[in-house]
Amino acid sequence: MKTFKYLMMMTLALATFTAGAQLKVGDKAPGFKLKNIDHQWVSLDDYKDQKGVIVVFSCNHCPYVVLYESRMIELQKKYGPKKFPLIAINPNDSTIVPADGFSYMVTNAAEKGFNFPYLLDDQQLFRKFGATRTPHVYLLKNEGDHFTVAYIGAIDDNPQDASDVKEKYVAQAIDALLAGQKPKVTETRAIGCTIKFRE
Amino acid sequence: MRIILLLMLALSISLKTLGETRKVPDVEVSQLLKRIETPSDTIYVVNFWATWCLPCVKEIPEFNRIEKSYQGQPVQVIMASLDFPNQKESRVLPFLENHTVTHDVILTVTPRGGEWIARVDNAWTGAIPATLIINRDQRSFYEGEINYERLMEMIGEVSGE
Repeated sequence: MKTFKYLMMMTLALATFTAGAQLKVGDKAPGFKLKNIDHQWVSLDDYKDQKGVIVVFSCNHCPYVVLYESRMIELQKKYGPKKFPLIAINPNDSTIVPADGFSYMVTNAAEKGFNFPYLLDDQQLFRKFGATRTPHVYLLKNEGDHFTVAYIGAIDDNPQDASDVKEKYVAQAIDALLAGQKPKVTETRAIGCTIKFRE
Repeated sequence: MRIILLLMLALSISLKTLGETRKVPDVEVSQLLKRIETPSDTIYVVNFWATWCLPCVKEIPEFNRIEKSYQGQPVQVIMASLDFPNQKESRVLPFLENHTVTHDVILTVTPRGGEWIARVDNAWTGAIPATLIINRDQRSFYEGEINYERLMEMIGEVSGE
C-alpha cells in the first residue's frame, strides 16, 4: 500500500512537472498559426521582417488584463513602428468562461480600440510557452531564422495605477534590445488570472 | 414594561448584528510569512484569493469545510485576499456580507513588483487561486482551483503522516 502511495506521489510529481514546463529566457519560441478577430490567420512566421514580437497571453474577463489593456495599446503605438509589434492571444476555453468566447473577443477589441491582433488560442499554444496566467508576457527577439525569448513576465510593476509605474519591464527590455544590449530584467512574476482550460 | 424590554432586546440584537462587520486586517506579506513559518504545532492553510477571481470564489466552500483541528492538531485557515488595499471597503467587506467565508480573512499588502511571489513559494507563477500549507518545516503548494480532497491530501503531507 505504501509503495502504491509513493508511486502515486511520483506520478503526481511528474504530471505537475510536465504541466509546468516553462519556456525560459534564451529558448527558441514555438511557432504558431491562430485565428485573429478579423477571421484571418496570423502566424509567427508573418513577423519575420520584424525585430521582435510582444506576445501577451490575455483574455476578456480578467480584471488584471482589463487594467493593462490601455497599456497594451500604448506599447503597440510606441513599439509597433520600431518593429516590436504586440500580439494578444486568448488561451481561455469559452466553455468554462463564456465571456472569453471569440465573438466577445471581437466586441471587446472594437470597444477598447485594440490596435493589435487578438488571436484565439484553440490549440493550447499557451502550454508550449508555459504561460500560466493572464496577462503573461513573452517578449520575443528575431534571431534571423527563428525567435528566442528575451523576457517573460509582467508589463510593469504597478497593475492598479498606470500613473505610478516605476519599472516598465517590457518597454525597458525592448529599449535594451533596440540598443543592441541584453535586457537587465529578464523575468518577473505578477498576480493574474489562471488560464482556464480542460485537460 | 414587557414591551419596552422586548424593544430593548430587539435593539440590542440589531446593534450586535451591525457591530459584527467582519474584521479584515491589513497584513504585510512578510508578516504573514513570518507568522506561518515560525515553527509551531499549528498547520497553516493559506489561500490566496480575490473577490474578482472566479475560480477563487468558486472554491471558497471547499475551504469552509476544513475543520479547526485535524487529528488533534490545530489547523488555521487564512483567506489572504489580494484585492487592492483601497478596495477593502468597496469590494472585500461587501463580498463577505454576501458570501459565507468561515475562516479568517486578511487583506494581503504586497510590495511593488512581483519578487514577493517567489518568496511565498518558488513554484508560484502568480496566478490565483493559490494555496500554501505549512507545518513546521513541511510545506505543500498548489496553484489553481483546488478541492477539499486535495486540501486534505496536502494537510496530510505536511502533518507528517
